[in-house]
Amino acid sequence: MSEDIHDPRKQVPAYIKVFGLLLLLAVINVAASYLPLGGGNIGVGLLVAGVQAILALGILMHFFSENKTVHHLMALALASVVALLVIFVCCYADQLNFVK
Amino acid sequence: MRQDMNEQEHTMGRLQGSGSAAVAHGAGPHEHHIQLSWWRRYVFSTDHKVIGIQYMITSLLVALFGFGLMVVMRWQLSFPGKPVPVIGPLLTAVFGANMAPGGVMTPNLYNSFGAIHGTMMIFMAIVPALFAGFGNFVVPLQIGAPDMAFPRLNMASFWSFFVGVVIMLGSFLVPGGAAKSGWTSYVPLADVADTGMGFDPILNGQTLWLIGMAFNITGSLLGSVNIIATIIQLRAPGLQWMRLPVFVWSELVTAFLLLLAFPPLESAAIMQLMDRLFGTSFFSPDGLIIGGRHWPGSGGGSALLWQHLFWFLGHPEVYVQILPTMGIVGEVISNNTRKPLWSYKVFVYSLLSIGFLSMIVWAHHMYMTGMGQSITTFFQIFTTIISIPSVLLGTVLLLSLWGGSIRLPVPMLFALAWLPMFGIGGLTGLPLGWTASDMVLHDTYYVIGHFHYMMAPASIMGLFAGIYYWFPKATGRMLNEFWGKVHFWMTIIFFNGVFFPMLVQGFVGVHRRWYDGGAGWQLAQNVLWLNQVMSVSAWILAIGQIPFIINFFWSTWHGKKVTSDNPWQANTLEWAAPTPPGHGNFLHPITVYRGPYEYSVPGAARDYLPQWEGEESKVAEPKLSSV
Amino acid sequence: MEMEIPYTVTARPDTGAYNAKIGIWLFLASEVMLFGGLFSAYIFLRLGATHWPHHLLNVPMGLFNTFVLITSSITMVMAWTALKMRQFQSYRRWLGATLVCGVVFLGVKSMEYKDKFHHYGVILNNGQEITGHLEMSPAEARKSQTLRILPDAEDSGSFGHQLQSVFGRPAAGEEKVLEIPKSDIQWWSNFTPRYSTYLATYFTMTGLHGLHIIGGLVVLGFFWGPGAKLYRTNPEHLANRVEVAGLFWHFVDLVWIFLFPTLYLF
Repeated sequence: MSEDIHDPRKQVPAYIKVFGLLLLLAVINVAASYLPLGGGNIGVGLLVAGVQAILALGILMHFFSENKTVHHLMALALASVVALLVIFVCCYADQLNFVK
Repeated sequence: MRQDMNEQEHTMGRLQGSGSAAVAHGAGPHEHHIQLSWWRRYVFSTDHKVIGIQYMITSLLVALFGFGLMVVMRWQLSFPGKPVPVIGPLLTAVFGANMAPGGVMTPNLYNSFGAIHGTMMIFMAIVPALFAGFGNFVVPLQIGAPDMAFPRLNMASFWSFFVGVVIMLGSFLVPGGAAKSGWTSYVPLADVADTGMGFDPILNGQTLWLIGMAFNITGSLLGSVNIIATIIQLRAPGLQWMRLPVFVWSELVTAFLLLLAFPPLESAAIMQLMDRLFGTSFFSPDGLIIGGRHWPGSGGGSALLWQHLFWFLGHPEVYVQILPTMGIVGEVISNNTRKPLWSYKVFVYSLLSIGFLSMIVWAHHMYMTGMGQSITTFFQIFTTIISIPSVLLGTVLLLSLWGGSIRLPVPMLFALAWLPMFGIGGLTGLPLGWTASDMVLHDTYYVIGHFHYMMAPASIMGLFAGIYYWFPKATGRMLNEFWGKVHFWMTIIFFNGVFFPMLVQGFVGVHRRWYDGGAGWQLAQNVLWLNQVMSVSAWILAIGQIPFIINFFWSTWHGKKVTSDNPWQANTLEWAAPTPPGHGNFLHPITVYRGPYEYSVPGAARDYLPQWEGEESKVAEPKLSSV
Repeated sequence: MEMEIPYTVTARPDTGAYNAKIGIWLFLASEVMLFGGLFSAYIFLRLGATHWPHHLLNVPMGLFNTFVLITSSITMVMAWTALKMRQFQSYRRWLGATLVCGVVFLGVKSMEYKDKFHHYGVILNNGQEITGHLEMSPAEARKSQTLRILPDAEDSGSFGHQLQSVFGRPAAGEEKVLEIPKSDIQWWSNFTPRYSTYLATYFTMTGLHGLHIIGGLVVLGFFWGPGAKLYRTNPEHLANRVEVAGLFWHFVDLVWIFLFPTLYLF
């Protein structure tokens, strides 16, 4: 956090914008879930949630203005969780005698 | 040598924070310090050194207990169905007549002992001793910090761990005894174990296992946050990343592994608790039949899910146990060969790549669960690739010996013995990393032999190397050299006596979970005699630890006092602190001028150049020798 | 000489952060993996499930709770901003608002839990699932040989219906009470975690999330009350602490942002 450079007050308009966007995206997400998209619902839902997460993380948690140590730590955590989820799905998909 | 340092201080003046003045006023640090009560200083202490020693002593006691469980089990394996001599009546008295009638181990008691031996040795002995014990005591000293970054959090993590240990030990005393489903707690066995008639819904072995593990995991997580934050934030001025001692690097990588790999197991433990307490079916598949009856649950769960989540931790955990010993051995070998590590960079990058790779190889524990060919290929490739940095690390340590003027104090003996133990442990792992050979060897004593070589001989060699090496810094006294050597030879010989025959038995096909040691299986008859070799070795190994235990306590109060703050003439920062270091560790602010292994630098007056001594000492030294 | 632990308040120049900030981000990394483990379980179970309910939970209530948590995130960051500006009263107000949001969230959540505990499901031997409300007391239902169930309306998954049900039982449709002999039933239960793997995941994930909310409320409550005294001696230190607690709070909100669609919407 580079508080010496930035006046904390200057961030407030950004917070308000993020607030509005987060609420709007939540509504969009709910609305989209009633569309008959089949499996596409999950994709849309996760996409919208991902955008919300980036907004909250980047602006509200000041991640965009953080230093690179924090960026590296989070990159590591994200890489691990992605590895966990992706490899789990692959393991699920590739089983012997797989009957679905 | 002491004189040497004093002279040096004269010449260097106030430029360097030399620790040599420390012996003279070792009690100095407490001068301006409010005296804390006995409880706050030795029990609920926030001082990283006290916490490190608490971790070390607790986990050594746990290790002794876990080893004791095994000593009893080895009787059953060699002489199945015969009453355990000497402590048989004790078993009956403690565990009840239905667990040990007439001093004979029942299958339930054997399973309890096996499960708790594995769990406690791994999660509550080796990891806390190596990672938390040495990590707490040594890391802040080696990076020139006054304490850990979060001292109170540090205390919390120790006590969380301690509660976990107490719960796990206490689980032996509840109706039905301790957990019996192996250290892996595989489901659905673990879901249904210890339930029903005669078991308490909460105070039963498996549920307490889960609760104890939850406490232990919480302690580990807090501890790893603390270690990483300390290493990132509290390095002394001048201590750049590539000047960190290899032990600090190994602790850093280990801490990251714990931080990122433990939480999925915690979530798996929560799910198993839900299964056991609220009747969910996370891990119970459709149509599960137990004892001829449909298990009353909704079904729809997956037993493989538990295995994946378990091994997602389980595999990095193996490296958690071995990486800190690599760091310790690196320190000891460099110090006692009086030369730099053969390649510091290769060592560090190998540690880092092991760290990354160890997160994506876990399913090589699960080849027999019906994984498809593509995904097993993925895991085989990465399992094979991870052996490259492992071999590089071993090579760096081995080549460091080349051309060195080797001293052989006790820590060095243990460090040298670590090399072949690590070699055997590592190389026997390769056939298990490939599906074709794993199919034959899976679940045999070969597997037991392989991973024990890594976790017992290798890890414990590193553990003892570390204890003998840093004991003088912690207590101001040396461990007795002669009894140390007795301990060393007893340990190394009989460790191999215990574990090498396992590899042989495994090739014959002796299964790891047999309660009679293979007596009931026709093809095992030719290797049954090895059971007795292993058992006798285990018992002598136990006797061989007595010299160490006595030595440890005797030397703490009556050992030979060190004559200098730097008895091994080492370079790293912990030796700049007074002996034993007071609260806040260092007497002067520390500045670091060079890498950690500048031994036998050409042109220098001494064969070591401590990290905390400035460039001027090189200039000053020739003057000194001419005086 | 007594040495203080450096960088407890000011940032270390080369890493650009004070100690607690590194600590909290590390902790959040482990939290990512904790919830990652649960999400991976969700994926595994869902992929393997023969049937996964859609819009079973009350979406309007979930949406309301999402609004509450998003609001609490904003009030949280405003509390920190006020503290950075050294406006103590304003800080207390914003933090108080955050606490209120957290409590409201938990209140709504417990209403949802209670609703589910009074909702029943039956799986017949032929695999068909009937959900609805018991027309008898649970004790009777356990003893009786037949279950009397008023099935849910056709449109019970619709937003409008669920919205109505928040404010009372919606008008009954054509449905009439079914009497199902237990011999036809493979599995029945109220909507507790044991009913299905879906509900097991729902209760476990939201339960763990709820525990995080409670933990966050305790910490924030401390900095609203006794912990705020630090303002008089070292306001910058208090601002740092509030920032760290806020990072945790934002993270808990962030988890909800993913829990809401995965559990409520699809």
